[in-house]
Amino acid sequence: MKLPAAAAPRSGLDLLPLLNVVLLLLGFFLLLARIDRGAPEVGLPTAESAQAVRTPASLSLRIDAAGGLFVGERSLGDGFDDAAFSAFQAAAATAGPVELHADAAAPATRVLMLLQTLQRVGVRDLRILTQPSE
Amino acid sequence: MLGLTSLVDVVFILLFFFMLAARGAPPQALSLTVSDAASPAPPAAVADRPQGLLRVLGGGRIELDGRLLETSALVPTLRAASRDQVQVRVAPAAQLQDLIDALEPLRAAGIGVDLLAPTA
Repeated sequence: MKLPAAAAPRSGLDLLPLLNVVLLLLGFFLLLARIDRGAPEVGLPTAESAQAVRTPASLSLRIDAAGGLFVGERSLGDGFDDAAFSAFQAAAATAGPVELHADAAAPATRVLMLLQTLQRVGVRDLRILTQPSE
Repeated sequence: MLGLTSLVDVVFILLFFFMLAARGAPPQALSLTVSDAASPAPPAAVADRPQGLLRVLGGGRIELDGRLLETSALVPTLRAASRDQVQVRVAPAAQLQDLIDALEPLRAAGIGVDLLAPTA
């Protein structure tokens, strides 16, 4: 009976760990890209009495420290133009929550005017995102 | 010989873990309802009792019925006047954080807030 020859000892660079690290790097950059895209570029206000949010929002708005209003990356300018109203009404039609990423330093009057506008078009579930105080 | 590849492997897995853990914390939110400035009449239930008018001036300053107050003195002052409802108006200089800082003690004390829309 002829036994199979023993495998020759492996020599040189082992490719498996290298592949492992390359895949981890790929995953790392994919995750980083997702986090960058989704993160609000505002310093949220701090609040003690805020509730944790569990359900996703149907529309996400952003107000920066200067009072600029954004839907995603698109600026809506100083006023609430037709495009903004269309977006608001679409959100109201879905009856889903609208969340507002407003900077802590944003003018409070600007935030209230936006909330009032959203209420007028029928948005009932409005959230102002906050962060817990240190 | 030191297995550098395995070390890098573990370091990346740890990095992943903490990135995902940080992302997994649910965001927190407050809800605010704005009254229409055009109809500032109080509800019938409180119409017989004058409501306080709180102005949030900005820079941590608040004013109750024209009198400057510390935020910490707001709830005791309202309680002393037996008020369980207050109208809130925001000055143009006030920031969102100023408004939230003024509203939180009121909510915690169970005092009703009638948040007036800013006048243009």
